[in-house]
Amino acid sequence: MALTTPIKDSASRYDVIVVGGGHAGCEAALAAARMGCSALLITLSLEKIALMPCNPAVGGVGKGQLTREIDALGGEQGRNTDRSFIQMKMLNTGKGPAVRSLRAQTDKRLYEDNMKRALAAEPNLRLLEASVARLIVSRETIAGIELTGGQQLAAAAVVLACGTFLRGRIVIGALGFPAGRMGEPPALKLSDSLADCGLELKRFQSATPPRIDGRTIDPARMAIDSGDAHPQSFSPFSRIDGTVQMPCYLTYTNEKTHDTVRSHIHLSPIKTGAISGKGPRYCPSIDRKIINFPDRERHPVFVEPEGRRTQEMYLQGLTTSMPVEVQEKVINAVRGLERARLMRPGYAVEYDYVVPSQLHATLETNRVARLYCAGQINGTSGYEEAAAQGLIAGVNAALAVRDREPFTLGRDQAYIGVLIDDLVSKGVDEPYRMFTSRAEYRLLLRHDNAHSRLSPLGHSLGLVSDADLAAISSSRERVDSLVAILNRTRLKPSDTVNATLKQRSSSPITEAQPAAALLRRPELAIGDLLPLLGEAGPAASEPEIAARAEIEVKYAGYIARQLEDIERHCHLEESSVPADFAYEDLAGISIEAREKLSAARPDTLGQASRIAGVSPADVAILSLYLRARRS
Amino acid sequence: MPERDKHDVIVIGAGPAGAEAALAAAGGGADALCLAINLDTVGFPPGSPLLAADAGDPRRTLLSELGPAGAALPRLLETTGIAGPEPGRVVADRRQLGLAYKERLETTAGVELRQALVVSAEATPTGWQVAGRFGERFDCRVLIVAAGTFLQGRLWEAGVESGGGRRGEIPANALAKSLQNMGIHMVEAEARAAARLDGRQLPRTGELLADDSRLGEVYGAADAATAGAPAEAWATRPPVRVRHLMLAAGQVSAALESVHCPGLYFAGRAAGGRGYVEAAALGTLAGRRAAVDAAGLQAGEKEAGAPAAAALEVLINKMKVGSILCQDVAASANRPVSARGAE
Repeated sequence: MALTTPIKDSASRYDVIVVGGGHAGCEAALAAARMGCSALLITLSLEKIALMPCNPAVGGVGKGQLTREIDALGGEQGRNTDRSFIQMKMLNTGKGPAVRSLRAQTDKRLYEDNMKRALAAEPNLRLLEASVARLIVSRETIAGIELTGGQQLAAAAVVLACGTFLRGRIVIGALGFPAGRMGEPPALKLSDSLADCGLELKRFQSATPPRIDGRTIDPARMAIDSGDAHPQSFSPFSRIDGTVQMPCYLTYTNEKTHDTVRSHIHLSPIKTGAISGKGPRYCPSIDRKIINFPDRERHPVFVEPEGRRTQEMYLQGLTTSMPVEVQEKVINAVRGLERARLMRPGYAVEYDYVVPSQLHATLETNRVARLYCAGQINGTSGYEEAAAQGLIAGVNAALAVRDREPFTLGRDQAYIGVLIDDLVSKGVDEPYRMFTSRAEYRLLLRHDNAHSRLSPLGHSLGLVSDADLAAISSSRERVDSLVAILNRTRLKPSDTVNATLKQRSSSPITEAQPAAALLRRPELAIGDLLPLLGEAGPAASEPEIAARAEIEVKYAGYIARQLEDIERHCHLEESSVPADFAYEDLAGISIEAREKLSAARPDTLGQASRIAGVSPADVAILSLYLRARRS
Repeated sequence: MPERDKHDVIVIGAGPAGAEAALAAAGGGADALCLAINLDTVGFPPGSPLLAADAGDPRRTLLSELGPAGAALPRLLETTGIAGPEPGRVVADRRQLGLAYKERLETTAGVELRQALVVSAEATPTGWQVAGRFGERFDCRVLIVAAGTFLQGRLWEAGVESGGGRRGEIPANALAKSLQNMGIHMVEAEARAAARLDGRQLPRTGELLADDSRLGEVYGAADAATAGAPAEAWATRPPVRVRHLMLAAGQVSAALESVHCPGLYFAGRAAGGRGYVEAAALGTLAGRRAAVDAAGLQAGEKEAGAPAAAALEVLINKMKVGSILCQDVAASANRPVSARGAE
């Protein structure tokens, strides 16, 4: 549906308004527009759309899975990364498939430009550079937004993706001032409006490391960290060129660096208390690392280029908000960075976030209908976490506006499901970052099978085209077919077969065995067995198909076990709990469980079971009550 | 203070004036530190992407002289200019031009670009000390202020005022006070940016300029209602006025040096100039002068300056009266100005 008639401001009513043009906002706006809604993206500065204020990188352990799933569902982050990368690497290739994750270093400016083009390519989507002051709510349902100038814009659904801008405050050392990011004014009024809606806000903090001038580093004193020679891509349809990658450099802090930090530690906001919000445990500042790990002799520092046409380099591992002159001393005490010149100081930013247990699994708030929150505003950190939430929020806003059933993903379906369930069921006490260890079904939720898992769902939402789905299905069929071949083809104990086995130091066979059984031997790879199979021709020229088949065969047993686990837990997830359930009527559960359940209002028994303070016994009692109530 | 924080020249601001000043200072042999509040908007034309109109526009003449004078802008426009339907117009892809300036600053020997919000400038026995918001301290012999619309910048749109040098960017208020405390007389001025419009479904007329191609925007004229933009056009960026402080008339010599404070120069909008090309020209001039000044030449030689700079001064004086700058510069010159005037 294209907008062919222009809409006059005062009479306009959008299906979906998205507030914030960061990684969450862009996904939400694109999803809503692509699903046929009239959408408006409002942001404080159109120049800063899809800006990466921290590490100019997408993906990594746990995060790469999120980005891959976003792509599988028809979101933009994965393919945008493919268009903008300067280095691409598959991590953990020496470990199991559950933890293999794709990571890209991106050209920051190119990433922004490409995302802007994607937004402009959607006829249903409009952009507006303005400041939102207030939410307009009518009968506990969102009705629109009001700008600081007083103009009102009506909407059937609103997605808030305000990042770190809600009463944002920047801190370096003991000095601070209001800002959403360095150099940019914060959003001061929206927090009050959220509080007026009855939503609880708390404060978090996030920090970013200094940037240095790449002309002043000493590469000879650091190790080179290069991308993969034949890099993979986030989207299966991207054709990427691995020959033009840029290197990163790896160095380490040392005793001198640590002494420098220690002698100035009294100036760190951690010690002075200049910053009040809780910071991310998994992305600690160098001051935090020295305090928490005093016996570590060295910490890694990755020196990463921010783009092809800039000299700025990002110092991963040296996040800090200590005074600027201390930052310079610390940097110059690192090998290879003795002459490095600071271009931007590191800093911390403190901001309001919406306590996420106030959200449904659709990311709709439980106070105001059709008001959704996505991204750092929910207490997460990371562009991938933000984009995943943006996609889900945008999808659900669009579905709600069309009176369609909401879309949620379970923990057994996607990392996106794990992310949202963690936020909504468990809440956060520090900025949330995804890891593979958070996903109990990670063996099923892999990089290699994301598209076959999720693209059919993306297609039913209208975000994945028929042609793309057909290609993904066809590739799934080729994998299945190769797995079937491996299962049914019996390899005889011939000289050829045993010679191959001997080459891999694998014990010879004396009777015929299915190829799949041999493939399960750790020392054998599919490349060893393909030449021994008669009809496996097509897959031989498709390394990706072969790689996927290999995983499915090698890990078949473990995969089957995880599927059984899911079956067992499935009934918990499918047991929905009424929104108005009176927990005070529930006899026999602990006081803490009653309090926590009343506060969280879980949508399913599965969610209830994951709330801290609710035991399996409490869940069992709740389950009995619900069953009794139904009959 | 470590040696690294001492420079011959410090330039406050990295718009076209500040960027050219830093480049010109380095070209003149000085080591220049260029400080910007926001490294993501270096060199950015905040207003119209139309840098020079048809052949009669004096800016075109100025632009053609800038190359020989050593400025970067003409060269940068070769790769970032947009060819439009009207031949002879100089329209820039604003974002690409900004990025090109940043790239040039980052790769020119003698120039260091750094993010800092400058809060004060104080005279020292050897020149100036500049302080940043987070306690940074930098020393220099010569200081150039090219702070654009950021000195006490206040944005006005839809009847609401907020602090800012541009939309989405914080102002430099403490620096403005610091300059006033030195006896620099400043007056309030206003810059206007017209609306930017969603150009995706608009018919392209000569009035509307292609702006950010990535977002499909076009730049409307000063008053979108009159300039040929359809009434129902959607403004992606509503018009905005920014009020800011700039030098009053008579505050600088023809060499752009403060008449009150030797070794302090002004360039661009902060100096009273209007327009992007003018800012680049003023920055080039100030930068060259500053380099000579920092090298500590005798007073006589200081007045003469480099040949290219002299040509630039003459050119600026030649520009059509109507530009605020020309009037002010001519009025405040402390040496005789050619009587040729406007042509």
